Order: sequence, then C-alpha cells, then structure tokens
Amino acid sequence: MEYEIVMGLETHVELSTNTKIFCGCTTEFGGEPNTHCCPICIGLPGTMPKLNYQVVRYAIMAGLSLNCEIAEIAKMDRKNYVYPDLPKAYQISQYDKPLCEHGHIELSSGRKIGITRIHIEEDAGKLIHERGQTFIDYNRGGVPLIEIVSEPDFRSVDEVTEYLEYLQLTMRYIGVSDCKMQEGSMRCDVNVSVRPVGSDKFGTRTELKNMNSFTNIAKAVKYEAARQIDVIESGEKVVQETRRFNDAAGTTESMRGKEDAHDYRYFREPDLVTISVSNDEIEQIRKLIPELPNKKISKYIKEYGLSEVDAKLLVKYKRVADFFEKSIDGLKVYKNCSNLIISLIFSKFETEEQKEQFNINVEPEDMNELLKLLEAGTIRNNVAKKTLGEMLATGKKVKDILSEDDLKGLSQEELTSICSKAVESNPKAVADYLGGKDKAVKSMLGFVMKNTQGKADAKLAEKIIIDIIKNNN
Amino acid sequence: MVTREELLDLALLSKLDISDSDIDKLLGDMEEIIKFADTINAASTGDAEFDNINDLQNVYREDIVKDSFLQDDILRNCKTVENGFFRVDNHNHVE
Ligand SMILES: [Zn+2]
Repeated sequence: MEYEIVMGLETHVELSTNTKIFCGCTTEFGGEPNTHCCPICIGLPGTMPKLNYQVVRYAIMAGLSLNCEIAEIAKMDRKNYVYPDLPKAYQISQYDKPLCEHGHIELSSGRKIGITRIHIEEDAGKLIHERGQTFIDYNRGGVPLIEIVSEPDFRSVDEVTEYLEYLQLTMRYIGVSDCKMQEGSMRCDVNVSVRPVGSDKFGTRTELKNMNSFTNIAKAVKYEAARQIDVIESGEKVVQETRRFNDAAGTTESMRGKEDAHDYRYFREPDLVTISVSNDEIEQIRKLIPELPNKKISKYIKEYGLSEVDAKLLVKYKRVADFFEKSIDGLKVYKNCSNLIISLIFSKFETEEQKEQFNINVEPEDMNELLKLLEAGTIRNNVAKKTLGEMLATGKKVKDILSEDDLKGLSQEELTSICSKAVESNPKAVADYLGGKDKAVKSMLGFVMKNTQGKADAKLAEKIIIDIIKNNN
Repeated sequence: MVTREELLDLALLSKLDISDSDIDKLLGDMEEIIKFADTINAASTGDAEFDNINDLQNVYREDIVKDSFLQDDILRNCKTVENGFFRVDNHNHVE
C-alpha cells in the first residue's frame, strides 16, 4: 500500500526582548550559571510576576506577519508539571485564550499551511545530566517564547523545511527573534502520522520533541514515518506517544506516553490580569512591521528584474537586502548591484553567520557612487570589480582609488581614435579579417583595451574596428 | 483534619526541620489555614462575573533590564549546590 506522511509543527521561538517575560533579569544568552536570576524567575514564594509589554507587542507582530487574527481578550494560564527545569512546578503559558489565532502562510507551491495559534509563555531552565545527577541553570528560565502551532497541513519534509525557513526569515525581518536553531532560540516539535494515500482520516500521531536542526528534522521524520508504516503493515497499531530523535543512531525512541491537556491541570494564572488588545493598539503595532521577505522577493523579481535565485539570495539576509536597497538609490539598472554583492561581497564570507552579520567596510552610499559610474559607462565592469575589491579590503572611498583620469571615462572620439590606431598598426590582422577570419578582430581589440587601461566598452570597440576596416576597403 | 503524618510529610517536602514540641501548635495552625479557605468558598458571589477583584486589565512593565541577584543569593536556599548550579541528587524525578 502507498502511504502519505501528515505532519503538524509546534515551533518555539525565543523573543529578542531585553528582559525576561515576568521580571527585569536580562535575557542574554550564556553567562555564568544562575547569574541572570531573581526571586521572581526562580519562583520563590510570595513573588509576583509582571508581564513585559514588549512580549505582547512582539507576539502581535508575529501574528500579524503570519496573517493571524489578534484576540481582543487574552489571558495567562498555569500549565502544571513537575520537572526540575521549572522552579515553580508550573509554566506560565496561555491555554484557551491565546493572543493570535487562525493564521496561514503560503508555500511556493501555492499550498497553504494553517497557523492554528500563537501564544506567549516562559522558557524553562537548562538541565545538564551528569553522573546520575542533574545540574540546573535558571538563566534561561523566564525568557519569553512564542509557540507557533500549525495545522497538520504538511505532506513532505520539503514543505516543513520551507515553512521553517519562512518563519525564521520572517521573525528575523520583523526583529522579534534571531531564530538560531543551534543556540536553541528556535526549536521545533513535529507531530508525525501516516495514512494510506487517498484516505481523509488521520492516523495516530507521535510527537518528535525538541528538534534543533533542519537536517535532524528531515532524518527523524523519514525514520519515524518508515517505522509507523512497518508497525501498520505488520498488523499492529501506532501508539500515541512522545519520541526523541537519537542523533547518533539516526533513529527515534520512545520518551513517554503522550500527555493530553488535562494532564497539565491548566488553570487561570491568578497573579496576572487579563490582556485586552484594542484595534488602535493593533494598528500601531502593524506600523512597526517592515516589508516582509516574500513581498521583497517578488518585488526584486518583477520590478527590479533580478533572477529568482538572486532575489532569494539577497532577501535571505536582512542586512544584505537593506544594503542592496540603499545602494541602488537613483539607479536604472539593479543587476549590477546584485551581481557585485553576490559575486564579490559574498565571497568574503565563509559562514551563514557572517552573511547574516554582513560586516563590511563599504557604506551603501559608496557602493551607490561606484554603481553610478558603472551605469554611466564611465568605468567598465572589470574596473568596478577591482575598485570594489579594494574598497572592501582597505575601506578606501571610490575617489581615493580611481584616478581623475579613470573618472573622466572615455569619450567616443578618444575611443574611435584608438581604434583607428589599432587598425593601422595591425595590417596582418586586418588582412586575416578580410580573408574571413572573424577572430582576427580580437587582437586589435586587445590593442584597444591595453591602450585605454581597460576603460573601453569591448562590444562598442569591436563594432568601431569593423566599421573602420570596412570603410578602408 | 490534618494528621500528624501529613504535617510531617509536608515538612519533609518543604525541607523544614520541625521539633516534636512544635507539632501540636503547628497542627492547630494548619487547621486554621484550611478553615480559612472554607470561609472564602462560602462567600456568595451571585451571578456577578468578574475577572479580578480590582477589575484591572493590562498591567505591564517596560522592557528595561534590572540587576539580577548575586549567584550566592540565588543558590542560598538550596542545600546541594555545585559550581554555581543547583544540583538534584534524587534522580527519581529526572529522566
Ligand atoms: Zn528574574
């Protein structure tokens, strides 16, 4: 029988606020253990949480970017479970009144992925298990998270990857999270089930917990789907449970039976008041959202005439897109800019991280100046490349690198006169050309390029040379 | 009724050392505390729907960092501490 994989995602995204969700402790990553803590975030009795408004604002920004409806009334709830990463033995989260609901995104295939809800909650502390003991660092405890819950709309790992990349990029653009999977600021639980192709009923699902890289998600889902198909084919039933991916073995293994909501004994958090969101507030927050990456990509393709590959490469890194847009100010041709960024500037960087940072000592204004010279034909592409290379290496400005002679460019008269000299001093090449060897023009062209320090437009020069030869004969 | 065993269990879970001479007095105190909940339960709220007693909404703080506590102070209440970490030795509760 042929099977189809059905997946839904719960994605935790750590928000880039300065402080934790309910206290003024810093959210900075790392630090000595238990040094970003206070009585509130280690849950001492008698302390009162107070909600950080930036968390509400960021969650609404995320919701609006993912086409969600924003709740008029939301509230916080206690999710009870006993585990040492939670000092209070409950997590403050949202149960039945989350901030955002009913959103969606569209994949490149045109398929829509539904966003069920987005809620805010506090992160747990970090546990290190060693020698049969557990060491606890509560620095991360109380760092604000949003949990983005999708509908079970995924049918392939590629769709999952595209969705997660989309979330990552969107959250980075709107500035609510850096979404670094390797640092845990984006983590993902994947619900996986299989069913016969054509069936409209869902199979029993298992939940793969805390996936922290795209490659592991792909491996884990592939393994888990095959495992479930084996179970079904052998006449048994898939058990609903939580499983973890074993990186070393490339397999998934059972962690515990699946909890249902009632296992968590959710109830209203009595220490926090209702969140009420007005329309005015939503409109104020909407203004904080910049142009979203998917819009940018289609603008770059349709309006700027870039290829899809180039457009996606530029938009993938917000700082690169910002640099690109400032650099093309007042220009007519945008490809020169994208070509230089992709061929020259990107090659300076080795890691994704470095592209993300986009730390270069060229200002967009300087890039703009260079591109204007290129567009006007004052300098040729090779000169532009050389100049930009030097700018990147030394931080010098365009005018410090190009001589006055370079900046004058080459007039039509000058070019024609040099082309005439090329024809005069190469009688053999002229004879060859006239004898039918088209390639003979190249040696005369070489003469022109040499005598113009590469400033000549090769195509134009070639045309002039041929015209001169034809006129002479 | 709170029993002697329940009180001692509670003390153990709360990591409190209780001397035998205190037990009778504490049993009385616990009884009073639990009775207080009965008083609240008995209050008639009618059909009134209220969200919280002060009728408050949208109580927020600004996102401004304050000094955290010193590591020593954070760990002060914990008996098992190592290298700045809280340490849990009874791994019954931990996977
Ligand atoms: Zn704190």
